[in-house]
Amino acid sequence: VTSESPDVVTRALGDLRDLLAQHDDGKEIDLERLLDVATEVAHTPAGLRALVQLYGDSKNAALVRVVTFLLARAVAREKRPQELAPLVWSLVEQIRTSDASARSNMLVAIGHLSRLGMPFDGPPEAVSKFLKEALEADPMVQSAAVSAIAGIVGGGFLDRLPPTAVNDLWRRLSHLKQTTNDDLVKMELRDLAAFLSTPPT
Amino acid sequence: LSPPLVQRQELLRTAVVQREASRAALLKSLRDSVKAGEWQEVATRLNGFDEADIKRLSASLSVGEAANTRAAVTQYLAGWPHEQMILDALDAGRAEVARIGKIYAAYEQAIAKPDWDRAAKQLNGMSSSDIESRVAALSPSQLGALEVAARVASQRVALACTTELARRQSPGGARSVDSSDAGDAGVPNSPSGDIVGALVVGGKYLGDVVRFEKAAETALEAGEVAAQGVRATIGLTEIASDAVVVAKVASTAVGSAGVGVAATTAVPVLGVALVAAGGVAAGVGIALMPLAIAHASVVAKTLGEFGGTLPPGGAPNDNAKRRHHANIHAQGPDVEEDKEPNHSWDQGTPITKVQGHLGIESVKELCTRSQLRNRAEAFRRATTFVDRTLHDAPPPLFRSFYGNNNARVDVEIVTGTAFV
Repeated sequence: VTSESPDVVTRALGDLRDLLAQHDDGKEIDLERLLDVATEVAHTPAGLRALVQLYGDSKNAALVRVVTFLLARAVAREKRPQELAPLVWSLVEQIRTSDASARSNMLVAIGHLSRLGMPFDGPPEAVSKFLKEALEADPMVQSAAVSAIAGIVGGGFLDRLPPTAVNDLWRRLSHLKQTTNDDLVKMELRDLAAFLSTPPT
Repeated sequence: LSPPLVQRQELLRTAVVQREASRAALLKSLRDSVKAGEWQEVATRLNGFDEADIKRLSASLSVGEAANTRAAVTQYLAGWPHEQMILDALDAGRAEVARIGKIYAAYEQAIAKPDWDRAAKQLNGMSSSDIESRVAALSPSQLGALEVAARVASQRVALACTTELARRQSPGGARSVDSSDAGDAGVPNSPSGDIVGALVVGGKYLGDVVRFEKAAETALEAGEVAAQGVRATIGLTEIASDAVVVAKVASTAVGSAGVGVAATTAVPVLGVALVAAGGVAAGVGIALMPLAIAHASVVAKTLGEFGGTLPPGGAPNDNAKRRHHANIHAQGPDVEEDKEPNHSWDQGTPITKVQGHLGIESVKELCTRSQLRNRAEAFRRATTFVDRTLHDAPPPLFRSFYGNNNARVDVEIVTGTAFV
């Protein structure tokens, strides 16, 4: 994320609208072109904010996937990720797609913010629902969810979730530990060994 | 009565000379054992030295040698008085020795048991050369059992097993290769035209090579692309470790055959292998097919210069324009901005698991010791991610794997396919 001229973002947003309009007219969307244009928009925090606000709740899964990727990458690279934190929590609340890569990207962003000491300030119910659903998904998403929860636990932010949600996560994680055959999920679960050793009170 | 002074001095001198001779012999034997890779022998010989020597000799071993010795010590000197002292000496100042040594030891235990799933998982934590040397040492039944287990546990190990099986299926591949009979490019050529080994590219067995002509800088004419992949071997000899293109050629004559698509672009190749196309193993009707082998990067560069259409490492198809772009990099508070250890791909063919592993190794090499130490677990997880993931982007995928103190390894699959 750089502080480039807002003109660049405005122009890129215009390109993005044109591209999506073509899709609305029934043309097949060029996904790589979509990524290129959206990447241009995301060059500034303002551009990213526009992407999340305009398209975070889009039913166009391809677009939401791109937005989550750009947001996760920006959070990981940004020197001041606190500026992007509200966008992450907003997107967690808005996101409608159950697409694996979109969810995985968001979970990486959640884990990263938590490890940097930034508690979530979105509705706790939305966060716990998002985590719960991710733990029921395929192993790729599960491993990302476990890593994100490990970040939340390690950051000391678990008490921001409702107690019932914490109990539910503990139960689901314990079950996952007993049943998963996926090596990566098992590896990520190691970071939660202390949390899983005793049920939450 | 004590001997006279002169006699005592003579006895003392003789004892010192004998002891020095004996010590020199022991040191030589130890060095020979290290050179031969006889790690059980190294462990027991090391045990015969005093503590100061053990520390000094341990420090003189490379990380790989120390790790192998460590595995042998835990296996063969378990419970001996010097076991811990030797292990401490081998580990001193080098955390990776203990880590790698434990993997080696766990592998040996898994083989002895046998527990093939565990063996495959331990192998997955080793370098490519370690994997190859170990699968090459297995009996046919052991290799078969490991290959089956590795299909689930590790694609990388499965690939090594398949390559080794293919090599053994070749009559030429079963014999050991002496460097003295090596031909051009280090490939053993038989004057009588015997098969010199199985040609394996990207883990795919292409046939038995009867002769290999090194082409050096010679540009050859175009033919049909037969195969592509990372790493090419003939028998035990590695022809290329990076992505290569293999093409059928119109003529076997060096200088008039070549790699390409449109048959108009000449490309420098590594060499032309005369491959027995069917019937060789059965001893009937040998048809020789010349296959040109070229670095994919050279093919891409040449075609770029001359307007060819073949993407790097890629065969002509509908996806010829598609790019496969991904990267792996170390990130975190201990990494300076713009100095992130990074490995990226932007190529015309899907990124393979082998490339993923090599990329991780490349990032490791760019890390400082402390960066590496903080990311030991992160690299393990990134490696497992490469093993478990086959992702087609779009949608792009971003993953982070954490080690100590928020040190992490990021994997981005931006466009195209990874890791096949």
